[in-house]
Amino acid sequence: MRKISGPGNVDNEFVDYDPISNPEGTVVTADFMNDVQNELIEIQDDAGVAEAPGTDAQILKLIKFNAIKYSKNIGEYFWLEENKSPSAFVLATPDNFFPAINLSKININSDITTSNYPLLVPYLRALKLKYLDGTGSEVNSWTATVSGSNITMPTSTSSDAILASLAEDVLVHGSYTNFRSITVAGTEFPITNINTATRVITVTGTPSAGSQTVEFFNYRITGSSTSARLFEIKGRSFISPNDSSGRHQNGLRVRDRFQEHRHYLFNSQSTGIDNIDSNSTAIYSYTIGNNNAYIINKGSTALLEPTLGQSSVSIDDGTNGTPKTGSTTHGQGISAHIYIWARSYIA
Amino acid sequence: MNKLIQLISIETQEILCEEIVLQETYKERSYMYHLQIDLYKLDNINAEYKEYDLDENGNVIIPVIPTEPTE
Repeated sequence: MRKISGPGNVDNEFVDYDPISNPEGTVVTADFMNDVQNELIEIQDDAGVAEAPGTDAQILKLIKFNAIKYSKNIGEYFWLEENKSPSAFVLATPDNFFPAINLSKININSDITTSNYPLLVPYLRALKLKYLDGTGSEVNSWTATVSGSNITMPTSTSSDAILASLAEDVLVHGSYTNFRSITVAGTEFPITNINTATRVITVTGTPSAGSQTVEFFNYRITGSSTSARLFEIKGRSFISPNDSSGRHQNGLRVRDRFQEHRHYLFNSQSTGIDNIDSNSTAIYSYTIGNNNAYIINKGSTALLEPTLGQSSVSIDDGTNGTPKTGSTTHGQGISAHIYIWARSYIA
Repeated sequence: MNKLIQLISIETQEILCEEIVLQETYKERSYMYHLQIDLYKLDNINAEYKEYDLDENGNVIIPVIPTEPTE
């Protein structure tokens, strides 16, 4: 757009006609009016809204639409307390436009297409699994050995990290049904098994044999270029994929866990253990209340576990109250739904 | 000291996978083997992890099993 430049303008501004001081006034040119018109019409065209007479607030509604549309990046995660379904743009009610998917509501997985999500699907399909070692270097493809349906990943830190992360993700997923795919020499194959010990990934189908380039596109579906697969996300906190351990890769889920640790063991019994030798093979047994507890020295290979009871449950430390335990490990939290922003949604 | 690490089927005692690992790679490989135990559960296979120290000739050092617990 440009300012008025027709006859009688003053510094490209309009001035009023005055029969004495400004008998010419500023001439409103077709160029200027067409500029203004085209700028406004383009807002409508971009939204696919047809021209119509007497729609005083149409541009205002489209400004609201665009404000919502570009409020987040495509693929951005965000939280809302309520459960909302995707809602397409309707000119009469621009505030209801909600181009996002509730990932908490997905049951295991959900396949979406470009027909409904023309921007999110291409975005997801381009996302690739990357190994970041914490210093900025990135590995996103590997040379693997293919034999039949088995793909043996190479022996390397990045390869092991990817395998471990995929293993975590499939354990969260619960099975290999509708799981992720591996791309071998440019073709996707659905993963049907992962063996982190042998580094073998098994797929449906037979990729080209021999030494092949493999990649992992997190959301691609075998045989389709117009769809993407989203996965259920429940109760996850965000972890940087660029961690120093290299344990976390972008877009993959992990189970809960807590840091590996050891315990000091103190013998407060008046009788009993007085000879704990880490090189000994002996097993010491003693009684706490009605339950047996064992101290098994390092040298022993015996598999003895404390009887479930007083010797194996968490108890009040006298300061912080009764330990709170549950099926998962997590910090203090707030329960909310996690969404992914699609920017565009067509019902 | 090198180690032999194994995953063994609890039901059949079959060796599912095993590997001799060097001290430098032991921690990572052991982690991957433990992770595999959980993956096997997806296929309803119950596996247990075992490891053995190897002597300089690559032979398993047989641990001494205690004969009787002491108090």
